[in-house]
Amino acid sequence: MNNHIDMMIVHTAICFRTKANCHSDIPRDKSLRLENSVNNKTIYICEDTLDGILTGVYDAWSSRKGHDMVKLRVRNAYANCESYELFCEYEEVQPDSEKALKVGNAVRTKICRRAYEMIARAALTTSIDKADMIYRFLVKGFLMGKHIVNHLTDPVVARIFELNRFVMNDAHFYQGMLRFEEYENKILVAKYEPQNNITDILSVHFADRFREENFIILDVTRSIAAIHRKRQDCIITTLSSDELSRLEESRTPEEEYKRLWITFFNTVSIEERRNEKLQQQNCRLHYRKYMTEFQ
Amino acid sequence: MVFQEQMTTEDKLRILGDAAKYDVACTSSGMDRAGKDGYIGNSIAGGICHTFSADGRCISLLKVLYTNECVFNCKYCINRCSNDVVRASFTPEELCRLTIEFYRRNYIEGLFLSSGVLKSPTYTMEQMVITLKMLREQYFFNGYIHCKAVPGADPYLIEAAGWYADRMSVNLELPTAEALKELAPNKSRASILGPIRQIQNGIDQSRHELGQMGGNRSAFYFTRKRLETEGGSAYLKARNMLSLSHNPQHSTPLADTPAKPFADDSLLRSVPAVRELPAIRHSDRYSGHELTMTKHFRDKRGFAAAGQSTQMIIGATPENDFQLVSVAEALYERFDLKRVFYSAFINVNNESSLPATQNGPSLLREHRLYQADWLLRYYGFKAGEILSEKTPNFNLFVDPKCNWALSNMDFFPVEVNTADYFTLLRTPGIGPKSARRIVDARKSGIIRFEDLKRIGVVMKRAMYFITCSGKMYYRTPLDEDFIARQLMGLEKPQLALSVDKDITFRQMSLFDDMNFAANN
Repeated sequence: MNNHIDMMIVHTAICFRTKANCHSDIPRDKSLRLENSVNNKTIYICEDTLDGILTGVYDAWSSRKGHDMVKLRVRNAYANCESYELFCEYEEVQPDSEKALKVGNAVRTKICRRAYEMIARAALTTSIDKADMIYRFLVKGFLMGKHIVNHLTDPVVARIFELNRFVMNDAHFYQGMLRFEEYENKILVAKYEPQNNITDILSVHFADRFREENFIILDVTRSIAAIHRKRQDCIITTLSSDELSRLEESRTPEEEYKRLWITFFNTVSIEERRNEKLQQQNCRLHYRKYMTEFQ
Repeated sequence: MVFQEQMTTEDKLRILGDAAKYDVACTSSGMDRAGKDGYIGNSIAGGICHTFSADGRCISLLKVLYTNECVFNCKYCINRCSNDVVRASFTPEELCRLTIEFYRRNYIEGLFLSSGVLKSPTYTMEQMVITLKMLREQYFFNGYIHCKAVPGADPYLIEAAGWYADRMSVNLELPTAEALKELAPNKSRASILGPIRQIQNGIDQSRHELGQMGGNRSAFYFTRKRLETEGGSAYLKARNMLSLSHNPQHSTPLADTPAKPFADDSLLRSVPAVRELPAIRHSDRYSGHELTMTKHFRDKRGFAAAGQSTQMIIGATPENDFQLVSVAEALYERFDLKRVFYSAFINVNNESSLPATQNGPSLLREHRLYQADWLLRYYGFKAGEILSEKTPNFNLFVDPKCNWALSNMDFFPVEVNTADYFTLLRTPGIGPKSARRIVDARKSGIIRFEDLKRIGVVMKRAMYFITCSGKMYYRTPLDEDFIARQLMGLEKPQLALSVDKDITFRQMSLFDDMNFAANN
């Protein structure tokens, strides 16, 4: 007897819950409607470049699904498995430089130039949430205009500010910590393993400093190289493993100035003020891998 | 003296780098200069640190002496002529080649050239100018050069060096004339202040004639100027008008100059402040040499475009901290220096007439002096506010800014949403960057405590001194002793490591040197 009643209640409940029976229950407020919880979010997977992310922004915005229904993510080239969310649809975004240009121009004119610089630098990091944060930042930015860059009380703006600061500090450190070695034909080669993709930024600085030199700055983790010929602009390119091995072959065992530098480095420290902890605080261990004096 | 023939470059580098390491000035900041075709190098105004030595200091320049032979006999110096050390000398070619090759490999940002006095100051300066000229004109070096002027050298050579170098400096060595006479008998106050004044006039003239190529002014100048145009901190002005503070020191109006501690140091006092100086005063006791080579250099670079700096030795003589800070302020105001450096004294010669430093140099004192120096240059403080005749030494337990805050509790709490920039700067835990961000973020909304932390304010210190929309973070009694104890709790661990070990025998009570309440 009881079972039968229970069954009836459950059956009624199920019937009650179908879409057709719910008309009187539809709340006025869109965000509370049942439809939204039934519909899935769309996650746009972008390529890990500024072009890719901006194309993603363009696609997500022009899909007119609503800002709460979309999310951006960057394709993670280094993870062995992606982490997927439940109840979501996934869409691949094909990077399109025209769309990216449109978004970029809109940002520069309608928000401000500095906002564009901030999102461009934030895109150089490896943080997981960067694409989504850029999207939310732009949503707010088009609303607020140029004052968005100072509006640090908002968590999204604060996050973009943090990423921006991280990239700028990293680039500033590497301007000093990069070490060149002389290879064949007096070509200077510097290797480093940065956390952020800052080869672009560094190439500008070194192209101005070493106008008369031929040099290569090599990002070992990403196999990206900035190649500079005397008095020409830098070329940024990825190197294949063949090219990398050919580069290694042309390495000369040049030791004289390395030795002189290490001598100077060791002499210049004042023993009475020795403070390794301070040294480590200033010159983090992960910068030291390719620095001559710490080999 | 020991001479060695056929010394290798490596030996020379070791000896001369070792001899130069007590010269603490080693920044590569000051001015922006783009690269040029045909030249190697550029300059970044913010300065770039290339590496950090084992004592934690930044290395950004190739810091060497041209030679460590010296005819002077200063008691504190390891290269004095009565010491028996190995002497060496670079040749200009060696030095240029070293600089260029190090620069190409991005080891350094530029050259820092000082020297012992070989034969005579003028002869030494001539050798240095020859090196700099070779570096600029034969090796086409466009990077950063910091040159030390030798006191007593011919003004013509000092001018030449200023045209080739980006930053010039003359070591003040010791803060008072008497101390200098006692410890460095070959150097006189006039022989040091003369070049400083000459370089200052040269920078002024170069800026006037060559515009931005002549470099920009110091942080001290800009902070003071901003303080005056913005009318200063509104709270401070209000307080001064009502004379709420009991301490006569703190009730002086902003426009007053601070108390002068050197009643007998007429040389320093007789020099008028920078802003009062008309173009070039020919009757000025120290000037007399105007720029004569402008025509030759005007297309290339300004005269000492990155400014001037100096260095003082701390702890060799018994001046108190108030005198040191006042000297620094006078130097900034009257000689328009960019930086003053403080070097903790280390008794390298085991000289009996100087204090012993077996337990290590007085690093805490040097640290406090740098903190006070920053307060002068970036925070708009005056020397008379940080210290005074009654409290002539720094507090061991809290930094000078917290010390001022605790002595002036009637200034607080500061309302973050309405206070102006300089009032915010006076709050412990808020520095120039945070203050600027607060002022900018305020324009688009009310700031709360959670936002402050994100902005970069050090809440551990600031929470006792600020309110957000009227509320404090915790219900803190605005009592100096209570807040002092809380703040000292923050600093105690650092203190244990760095406190001067020769005071361990003193029974340290918490309220030993602090006279917060007794400041009446």
